[in-house]
Amino acid sequence: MDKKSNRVYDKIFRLAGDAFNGHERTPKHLLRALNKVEGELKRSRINHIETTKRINNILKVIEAYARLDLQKKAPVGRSGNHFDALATGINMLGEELQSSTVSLNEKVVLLKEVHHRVKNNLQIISSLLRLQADQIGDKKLASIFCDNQRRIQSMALVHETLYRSKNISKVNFANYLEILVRSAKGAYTDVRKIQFQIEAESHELRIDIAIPCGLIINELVTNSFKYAFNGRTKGKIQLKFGREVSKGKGFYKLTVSDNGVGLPKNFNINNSGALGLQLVSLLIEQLGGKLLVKSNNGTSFSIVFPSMIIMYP
Amino acid sequence: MPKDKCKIIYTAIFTTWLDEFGICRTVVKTNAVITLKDAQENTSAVNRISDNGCPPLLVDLREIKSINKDARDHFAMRDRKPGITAIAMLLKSPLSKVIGNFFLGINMPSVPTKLFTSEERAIEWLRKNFIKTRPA
Repeated sequence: MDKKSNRVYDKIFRLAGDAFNGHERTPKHLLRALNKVEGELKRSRINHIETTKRINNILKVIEAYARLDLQKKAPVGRSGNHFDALATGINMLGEELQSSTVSLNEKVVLLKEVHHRVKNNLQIISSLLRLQADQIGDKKLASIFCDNQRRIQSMALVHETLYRSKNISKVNFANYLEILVRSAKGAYTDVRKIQFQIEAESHELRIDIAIPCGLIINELVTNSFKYAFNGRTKGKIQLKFGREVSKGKGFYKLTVSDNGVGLPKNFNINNSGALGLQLVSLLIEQLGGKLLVKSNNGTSFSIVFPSMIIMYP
Repeated sequence: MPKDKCKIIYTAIFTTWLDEFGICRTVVKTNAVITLKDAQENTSAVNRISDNGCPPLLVDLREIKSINKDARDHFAMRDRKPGITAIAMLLKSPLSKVIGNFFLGINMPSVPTKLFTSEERAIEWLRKNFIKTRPA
Protein backbone atom coordinates (compact mmCIF):
# COMPACT_ATOMS: atom_id res chain seq x y z
CA MET A 1 0.00 0.00 0.00
CA ASP A 2 1.43 3.34 -0.98
CA LYS A 3 2.01 6.20 1.48
CA LYS A 4 -1.04 8.19 0.33
CA SER A 5 -3.45 5.22 0.77
CA ASN A 6 -2.02 4.59 4.24
CA ARG A 7 -2.78 8.22 5.20
CA VAL A 8 -6.38 7.80 4.00
CA TYR A 9 -6.78 4.61 6.10
CA ASP A 10 -5.21 6.37 9.13
CA LYS A 11 -7.58 9.31 8.90
CA ILE A 12 -10.78 7.27 8.41
CA PHE A 13 -9.92 4.73 11.13
CA ARG A 14 -9.13 7.59 13.50
CA LEU A 15 -12.54 9.19 12.79
CA ALA A 16 -14.27 5.84 13.32
CA GLY A 17 -12.81 5.58 16.83
CA ASP A 18 -10.69 3.29 19.02
CA ALA A 19 -12.36 0.09 17.79
CA PHE A 20 -10.53 0.48 14.47
CA ASN A 21 -7.08 0.88 16.00
CA GLY A 22 -4.68 -1.60 14.39
CA HIS A 23 -7.38 -3.02 12.10
CA GLU A 24 -6.52 -4.77 8.88
CA ARG A 25 -6.36 -2.22 6.08
CA THR A 26 -8.82 -3.82 3.66
CA PRO A 27 -11.67 -2.31 1.62
CA LYS A 28 -14.12 -4.33 3.82
CA HIS A 29 -12.87 -2.64 7.03
CA LEU A 30 -12.65 0.70 5.31
CA LEU A 31 -16.36 0.40 4.37
CA ARG A 32 -17.25 -0.52 7.98
CA ALA A 33 -15.33 2.46 9.32
CA LEU A 34 -17.02 4.76 6.78
CA ASN A 35 -20.47 3.39 7.77
CA LYS A 36 -19.69 4.11 11.41
CA VAL A 37 -18.59 7.67 10.66
CA GLU A 38 -21.70 8.18 8.50
CA GLY A 39 -23.95 6.91 11.34
CA GLU A 40 -22.34 9.30 13.80
CA LEU A 41 -22.75 12.20 11.41
CA LYS A 42 -26.46 11.36 11.02
CA ARG A 43 -26.93 11.14 14.79
CA SER A 44 -25.13 14.44 15.32
CA ARG A 45 -27.35 16.07 12.65
CA ILE A 46 -30.46 14.74 14.40
CA ASN A 47 -29.11 15.97 17.76
CA HIS A 48 -28.47 19.38 16.25
CA ILE A 49 -32.02 19.55 14.86
CA GLU A 50 -33.43 18.43 18.23
CA THR A 51 -31.32 21.01 20.12
CA THR A 52 -32.41 23.82 17.80
CA LYS A 53 -36.04 22.75 18.20
CA ARG A 54 -35.84 22.78 22.00
CA ILE A 55 -34.04 26.14 22.09
CA ASN A 56 -36.72 27.59 19.79
CA ASN A 57 -39.48 26.19 22.03
CA ILE A 58 -37.92 27.84 25.09
CA LEU A 59 -37.36 31.13 23.21
CA LYS A 60 -41.01 31.18 22.13
CA VAL A 61 -42.11 30.82 25.76
CA ILE A 62 -39.78 33.64 26.89
CA GLU A 63 -41.16 35.84 24.08
CA ALA A 64 -44.71 35.02 25.20
CA TYR A 65 -43.86 35.88 28.82
CA ALA A 66 -42.36 39.19 27.67
CA ARG A 67 -45.79 39.95 26.15
CA LEU A 68 -47.35 38.86 29.46
CA ASP A 69 -48.94 35.90 27.70
CA LEU A 70 -48.26 33.71 30.72
CA GLN A 71 -50.35 30.68 29.73
CA LYS A 72 -47.65 29.31 27.45
CA LYS A 73 -45.50 26.42 28.70
CA ALA A 74 -42.23 24.99 27.45
CA PRO A 75 -42.38 21.19 26.86
CA VAL A 76 -40.42 19.18 29.45
CA GLY A 77 -38.93 15.83 28.45
CA ARG A 78 -38.47 12.76 30.62
CA SER A 79 -34.68 12.78 30.89
CA GLY A 80 -34.30 15.65 33.39
CA ASN A 81 -31.38 17.01 31.37
CA HIS A 82 -30.29 20.64 31.06
CA PHE A 83 -33.00 21.46 28.51
CA ASP A 84 -35.67 19.97 30.77
CA ALA A 85 -34.24 21.98 33.66
CA LEU A 86 -34.36 25.17 31.57
CA ALA A 87 -37.92 24.48 30.44
CA THR A 88 -39.07 23.65 34.00
CA GLY A 89 -37.43 26.75 35.44
CA ILE A 90 -39.01 29.00 32.81
CA ASN A 91 -42.44 27.39 33.29
CA MET A 92 -42.21 27.87 37.05
CA LEU A 93 -41.10 31.50 36.66
CA GLY A 94 -44.11 32.02 34.34
CA GLU A 95 -46.46 30.65 37.00
CA GLU A 96 -44.97 32.95 39.64
CA LEU A 97 -45.12 35.94 37.26
CA GLN A 98 -48.76 35.20 36.49
CA SER A 99 -49.62 35.00 40.18
CA SER A 100 -47.77 38.31 40.90
CA THR A 101 -49.39 40.03 37.91
CA VAL A 102 -52.86 38.94 39.03
CA SER A 103 -52.30 40.16 42.60
CA LEU A 104 -50.74 43.40 41.33
CA ASN A 105 -53.73 44.05 39.06
CA GLU A 106 -56.08 43.36 41.96
CA LYS A 107 -54.18 45.89 44.09
CA VAL A 108 -54.30 48.54 41.35
CA VAL A 109 -58.08 48.05 40.98
CA LEU A 110 -58.49 48.26 44.76
CA LEU A 111 -56.34 51.39 45.02
CA LYS A 112 -58.28 53.07 42.21
CA GLU A 113 -61.47 52.23 44.06
CA VAL A 114 -60.07 53.79 47.26
CA HIS A 115 -59.08 56.99 45.41
CA HIS A 116 -62.52 57.07 43.80
CA ARG A 117 -64.25 56.79 47.18
CA VAL A 118 -61.98 59.38 48.85
CA LYS A 119 -62.67 61.75 45.97
CA ASN A 120 -66.44 61.15 46.26
CA ASN A 121 -66.37 61.75 50.02
CA LEU A 122 -64.37 64.97 49.62
CA GLN A 123 -66.77 66.01 46.86
CA ILE A 124 -69.72 65.50 49.24
CA ILE A 125 -68.06 67.64 51.94
CA SER A 126 -67.26 70.26 49.30
CA SER A 127 -70.88 70.30 48.07
CA LEU A 128 -72.21 70.55 51.64
CA LEU A 129 -69.98 73.55 52.32
CA ARG A 130 -71.15 75.24 49.12
CA LEU A 131 -74.80 74.61 49.97
CA GLN A 132 -74.31 76.01 53.45
CA ALA A 133 -72.45 79.02 52.06
CA ASP A 134 -75.44 79.73 49.80
CA GLN A 135 -77.73 79.74 52.85
CA ILE A 136 -75.62 82.10 54.92
CA GLY A 137 -76.67 85.72 54.72
CA ASP A 138 -73.39 87.07 56.09
CA LYS A 139 -71.11 87.56 53.06
CA LYS A 140 -67.87 87.31 55.06
CA LEU A 141 -68.92 84.03 56.66
CA ALA A 142 -70.15 82.66 53.32
CA SER A 143 -66.76 83.50 51.80
CA ILE A 144 -65.01 81.47 54.52
CA PHE A 145 -67.22 78.50 53.64
CA CYS A 146 -66.44 78.95 49.93
CA ASP A 147 -62.67 79.15 50.60
CA ASN A 148 -62.79 75.85 52.50
CA GLN A 149 -64.98 74.33 49.82
CA ARG A 150 -62.32 75.13 47.19
CA ARG A 151 -59.52 73.76 49.40
CA ILE A 152 -61.34 70.45 49.71
CA GLN A 153 -62.10 70.50 45.99
CA SER A 154 -58.39 70.89 45.15
CA MET A 155 -57.63 67.77 47.25
CA ALA A 156 -60.52 65.82 45.69
CA LEU A 157 -59.10 66.60 42.24
CA VAL A 158 -55.75 64.98 43.15
CA HIS A 159 -57.60 61.74 43.94
CA GLU A 160 -59.63 62.07 40.75
CA THR A 161 -56.47 62.53 38.67
CA LEU A 162 -54.96 59.46 40.37
CA TYR A 163 -57.81 57.05 39.72
CA ARG A 164 -58.11 58.23 36.13
CA SER A 165 -54.39 57.85 35.45
CA LYS A 166 -52.38 54.81 34.45
CA ASN A 167 -49.84 55.33 37.23
CA ILE A 168 -51.85 54.91 40.40
CA SER A 169 -49.17 56.19 42.80
CA LYS A 170 -48.22 59.44 41.04
CA VAL A 171 -50.07 62.43 39.65
CA ASN A 172 -49.22 63.91 36.29
CA PHE A 173 -49.04 67.47 37.54
CA ALA A 174 -49.63 69.09 34.14
CA ASN A 175 -52.93 67.16 33.83
CA TYR A 176 -53.84 68.06 37.40
CA LEU A 177 -53.25 71.77 36.74
CA GLU A 178 -55.59 71.65 33.73
CA ILE A 179 -58.36 70.09 35.83
CA LEU A 180 -57.73 72.43 38.78
CA VAL A 181 -57.93 75.52 36.57
CA ARG A 182 -61.11 74.22 34.92
CA SER A 183 -62.62 73.78 38.37
CA ALA A 184 -61.45 77.23 39.52
CA LYS A 185 -62.99 78.86 36.42
CA GLY A 186 -66.31 77.24 37.32
CA ALA A 187 -66.07 78.41 40.93
CA TYR A 188 -65.50 82.12 40.19
CA THR A 189 -68.42 83.22 38.15
CA ASP A 190 -68.05 86.97 38.12
CA VAL A 191 -68.41 89.51 35.38
CA ARG A 192 -64.68 90.17 35.01
CA LYS A 193 -62.86 88.47 32.21
CA ILE A 194 -60.08 86.51 33.89
CA GLN A 195 -57.84 84.53 31.60
CA PHE A 196 -55.74 81.56 32.67
CA GLN A 197 -52.46 80.54 31.13
CA ILE A 198 -50.74 77.27 32.01
CA GLU A 199 -47.16 76.36 31.16
CA ALA A 200 -46.45 73.04 32.82
CA GLU A 201 -43.91 70.34 32.14
CA SER A 202 -45.27 66.83 32.37
CA HIS A 203 -43.85 65.60 35.69
CA GLU A 204 -45.25 62.88 37.90
CA LEU A 205 -45.60 63.82 41.58
CA ARG A 206 -46.37 61.61 44.53
CA ILE A 207 -49.71 62.23 46.21
CA ASP A 208 -48.06 63.64 49.35
CA ILE A 209 -46.38 66.31 47.21
CA ALA A 210 -49.24 66.89 44.76
CA ILE A 211 -51.79 67.69 47.52
CA PRO A 212 -49.79 70.51 49.18
CA CYS A 213 -48.93 71.88 45.70
CA GLY A 214 -52.63 71.80 44.75
CA LEU A 215 -53.57 73.58 47.97
CA ILE A 216 -50.88 76.25 47.42
CA ILE A 217 -52.12 76.91 43.87
CA ASN A 218 -55.70 77.07 45.11
CA GLU A 219 -54.80 79.68 47.77
CA LEU A 220 -52.74 81.83 45.42
CA VAL A 221 -55.30 81.70 42.60
CA THR A 222 -58.07 82.54 45.09
CA ASN A 223 -55.94 85.43 46.32
CA SER A 224 -55.51 86.77 42.79
CA PHE A 225 -59.24 86.46 42.10
CA LYS A 226 -60.14 88.25 45.31
CA TYR A 227 -57.63 91.09 45.36
CA ALA A 228 -55.53 91.37 42.19
CA PHE A 229 -58.14 92.75 39.80
CA ASN A 230 -60.05 95.11 42.05
CA GLY A 231 -61.44 97.89 39.88
CA ARG A 232 -60.48 96.10 36.67
CA THR A 233 -62.63 94.35 34.09
CA LYS A 234 -60.08 91.81 32.92
CA GLY A 235 -56.92 90.12 34.03
CA LYS A 236 -54.58 87.20 33.52
CA ILE A 237 -53.44 84.49 35.92
CA GLN A 238 -50.43 82.47 34.89
CA LEU A 239 -49.37 79.08 36.27
CA LYS A 240 -45.94 77.66 35.57
CA PHE A 241 -44.49 74.37 36.70
CA GLY A 242 -41.20 72.74 35.78
CA ARG A 243 -38.04 71.09 36.97
CA GLU A 244 -34.69 72.81 37.27
CA VAL A 245 -31.23 71.63 38.21
CA SER A 246 -28.94 73.74 40.35
CA LYS A 247 -25.57 72.64 41.77
CA GLY A 248 -26.30 69.03 40.81
CA LYS A 249 -29.61 68.97 42.71
CA GLY A 250 -33.08 68.81 41.16
CA PHE A 251 -35.79 71.29 42.10
CA TYR A 252 -39.37 71.85 41.11
CA LYS A 253 -40.45 75.43 40.49
CA LEU A 254 -44.09 76.37 40.77
CA THR A 255 -45.08 79.92 39.89
CA VAL A 256 -48.48 81.56 40.25
CA SER A 257 -48.54 85.10 38.89
CA ASP A 258 -51.07 87.71 37.82
CA ASN A 259 -51.01 91.05 36.05
CA GLY A 260 -53.11 92.70 38.72
CA VAL A 261 -52.61 95.62 41.06
CA GLY A 262 -49.69 94.07 42.95
CA LEU A 263 -49.11 93.62 46.65
CA PRO A 264 -49.32 96.30 49.31
CA LYS A 265 -46.03 97.93 50.30
CA ASN A 266 -44.11 96.13 53.08
CA PHE A 267 -46.01 92.91 52.35
CA ASN A 268 -44.77 89.93 54.35
CA ILE A 269 -46.47 86.56 53.91
CA ASN A 270 -45.85 85.62 57.54
CA ASN A 271 -47.43 88.79 58.89
CA SER A 272 -50.24 89.05 56.36
CA GLY A 273 -52.85 87.74 58.81
CA ALA A 274 -54.75 86.01 56.00
CA LEU A 275 -55.45 82.34 56.68
CA GLY A 276 -54.88 81.41 53.01
CA LEU A 277 -51.37 82.88 52.89
CA GLN A 278 -50.50 81.40 56.29
CA LEU A 279 -51.54 78.06 54.86
CA VAL A 280 -49.28 78.66 51.84
CA SER A 281 -46.37 79.39 54.16
CA LEU A 282 -46.96 76.19 56.15
CA LEU A 283 -47.34 74.05 53.04
CA ILE A 284 -44.09 75.41 51.57
CA GLU A 285 -42.37 74.47 54.83
CA GLN A 286 -43.89 70.99 54.55
CA LEU A 287 -42.43 70.67 51.04
CA GLY A 288 -39.02 71.81 52.27
CA GLY A 289 -39.26 74.68 49.81
CA LYS A 290 -38.67 78.43 49.54
CA LEU A 291 -40.93 81.25 48.47
CA LEU A 292 -39.93 84.11 46.18
CA VAL A 293 -42.39 86.98 45.91
CA LYS A 294 -42.25 89.70 43.25
CA SER A 295 -44.62 92.61 42.96
CA ASN A 296 -43.96 94.43 39.73
CA ASN A 297 -46.73 94.91 37.16
CA GLY A 298 -48.74 92.39 39.14
CA THR A 299 -47.72 89.73 41.62
CA SER A 300 -45.64 86.60 41.24
CA PHE A 301 -45.28 83.85 43.85
CA SER A 302 -42.61 81.28 43.02
CA ILE A 303 -42.15 78.20 45.14
CA VAL A 304 -38.97 76.19 44.74
CA PHE A 305 -38.79 72.78 46.40
CA PRO A 306 -36.49 69.77 46.09
CA SER A 307 -37.66 67.14 43.61
CA MET A 308 -36.56 64.27 45.90
CA ILE A 309 -38.15 64.70 49.30
CA ILE A 310 -39.51 62.18 51.73
CA MET A 311 -42.57 63.66 53.31
CA TYR A 312 -43.54 60.95 55.77
CA PRO A 313 -40.51 58.91 56.78
CA MET B 1 -35.13 2.91 50.92
CA PRO B 2 -37.26 2.02 53.97
CA LYS B 3 -36.28 -0.87 56.23
CA ASP B 4 -38.47 -3.96 56.04
CA LYS B 5 -40.48 -3.67 59.25
CA CYS B 6 -41.11 0.07 59.38
CA LYS B 7 -44.47 1.61 58.55
CA ILE B 8 -44.61 2.92 54.99
CA ILE B 9 -47.27 5.04 53.34
CA TYR B 10 -47.58 4.92 49.57
CA THR B 11 -49.42 7.71 47.76
CA ALA B 12 -49.74 8.24 44.01
CA ILE B 13 -46.42 10.10 43.85
CA PHE B 14 -44.62 9.66 47.18
CA THR B 15 -43.32 6.87 49.39
CA THR B 16 -43.08 8.03 53.00
CA TRP B 17 -41.66 6.46 56.18
CA LEU B 18 -39.93 7.30 59.46
CA ASP B 19 -36.29 6.18 59.62
CA GLU B 20 -34.28 4.87 62.58
CA PHE B 21 -33.00 8.39 63.42
CA GLY B 22 -36.48 9.87 63.68
CA ILE B 23 -36.22 11.60 60.30
CA CYS B 24 -39.32 11.47 58.14
CA ARG B 25 -38.29 10.38 54.66
CA THR B 26 -40.29 10.90 51.51
CA VAL B 27 -39.25 9.91 48.00
CA VAL B 28 -40.89 11.04 44.76
CA LYS B 29 -41.46 8.52 42.01
CA THR B 30 -39.54 8.69 38.74
CA ASN B 31 -40.88 11.39 36.40
CA ALA B 32 -43.34 12.55 39.07
CA VAL B 33 -45.55 15.52 38.15
CA ILE B 34 -46.61 16.92 41.53
CA THR B 35 -49.96 18.70 41.84
CA LEU B 36 -51.69 20.23 44.86
CA LYS B 37 -53.56 16.96 45.52
CA ASP B 38 -50.27 15.02 45.64
CA ALA B 39 -48.74 17.67 47.91
CA GLN B 40 -51.71 17.48 50.31
CA GLU B 41 -51.57 13.68 50.32
CA ASN B 42 -47.88 13.88 51.17
CA THR B 43 -48.51 16.30 54.08
CA SER B 44 -51.16 13.98 55.42
CA ALA B 45 -48.80 10.99 55.06
CA VAL B 46 -45.99 12.84 56.90
CA ASN B 47 -48.38 13.77 59.75
CA ARG B 48 -49.69 10.20 60.03
CA ILE B 49 -46.29 8.55 59.88
CA SER B 50 -44.86 10.86 62.56
CA ASP B 51 -48.04 10.77 64.64
CA ASN B 52 -48.00 14.59 64.47
CA GLY B 53 -44.62 14.50 66.21
CA CYS B 54 -43.10 17.33 64.11
CA PRO B 55 -40.01 15.50 62.77
CA PRO B 56 -37.43 16.90 60.35
CA LEU B 57 -38.13 15.90 56.74
CA LEU B 58 -35.81 14.54 54.07
CA VAL B 59 -37.40 14.89 50.63
CA ASP B 60 -35.82 12.96 47.80
CA LEU B 61 -36.60 14.96 44.65
CA ARG B 62 -33.95 13.30 42.51
CA GLU B 63 -36.42 11.76 40.06
CA ILE B 64 -38.96 14.62 39.91
CA LYS B 65 -40.24 15.89 36.57
CA SER B 66 -42.30 18.93 37.61
CA ILE B 67 -44.30 20.54 40.40
CA ASN B 68 -47.02 23.12 39.84
CA LYS B 69 -47.41 26.45 41.64
CA ASP B 70 -50.27 25.35 43.90
CA ALA B 71 -48.20 22.42 45.13
CA ARG B 72 -45.15 24.65 45.67
CA ASP B 73 -47.25 27.12 47.66
CA HIS B 74 -48.62 24.24 49.75
CA PHE B 75 -45.10 23.01 50.55
CA ALA B 76 -44.07 26.60 51.45
CA MET B 77 -46.50 26.21 54.43
CA ARG B 78 -47.13 29.95 54.73
CA ASP B 79 -50.71 29.72 55.93
CA ARG B 80 -50.64 26.54 58.00
CA LYS B 81 -48.81 24.90 60.90
CA PRO B 82 -45.70 23.26 59.39
CA GLY B 83 -45.90 19.86 61.14
CA ILE B 84 -42.15 19.44 60.52
CA THR B 85 -39.08 21.17 61.96
CA ALA B 86 -36.82 21.37 58.89
CA ILE B 87 -36.52 20.21 55.29
CA ALA B 88 -33.49 18.73 53.57
CA MET B 89 -34.00 18.33 49.83
CA LEU B 90 -32.08 15.72 47.94
CA LEU B 91 -31.36 16.71 44.33
CA LYS B 92 -29.44 15.24 41.44
CA SER B 93 -30.53 16.18 37.92
CA PRO B 94 -30.29 19.76 36.63
CA LEU B 95 -34.10 19.77 36.63
CA SER B 96 -34.38 18.76 40.29
CA LYS B 97 -31.79 21.45 41.16
CA VAL B 98 -33.91 24.13 39.47
CA ILE B 99 -36.98 23.00 41.44
CA GLY B 100 -35.00 22.85 44.69
CA ASN B 101 -33.71 26.38 44.23
CA PHE B 102 -37.28 27.66 43.80
CA PHE B 103 -37.88 26.41 47.35
CA LEU B 104 -34.91 28.42 48.59
CA GLY B 105 -36.14 31.62 46.96
CA ILE B 106 -39.61 32.11 45.59
CA ASN B 107 -41.43 29.32 47.47
CA MET B 108 -39.33 29.37 50.64
CA PRO B 109 -40.87 27.05 53.27
CA SER B 110 -41.51 28.47 56.73
CA VAL B 111 -39.02 26.05 58.35
CA PRO B 112 -35.21 25.85 57.80
CA THR B 113 -34.58 24.37 54.36
CA LYS B 114 -31.35 23.22 52.73
CA LEU B 115 -30.48 21.54 49.42
CA PHE B 116 -28.18 18.53 49.17
CA THR B 117 -26.81 16.23 46.51
CA SER B 118 -25.49 13.77 49.11
CA GLU B 119 -27.94 11.72 51.16
CA GLU B 120 -25.38 11.22 53.95
CA ARG B 121 -24.81 14.96 54.33
CA ALA B 122 -28.54 15.65 54.32
CA ILE B 123 -29.08 13.12 57.13
CA GLU B 124 -26.09 14.50 59.03
CA TRP B 125 -27.48 18.08 58.84
CA LEU B 126 -30.92 17.00 60.02
CA ARG B 127 -29.58 14.76 62.82
CA LYS B 128 -27.12 17.36 64.06
CA ASN B 129 -29.54 20.27 64.12
CA PHE B 130 -33.05 18.93 64.45
CA ILE B 131 -33.02 15.58 66.26
CA LYS B 132 -33.17 15.86 70.03
CA THR B 133 -31.05 13.19 71.72
CA ARG B 134 -32.34 11.89 75.03
CA PRO B 135 -30.15 12.70 78.01
CA ALA B 136 -28.39 9.58 79.40
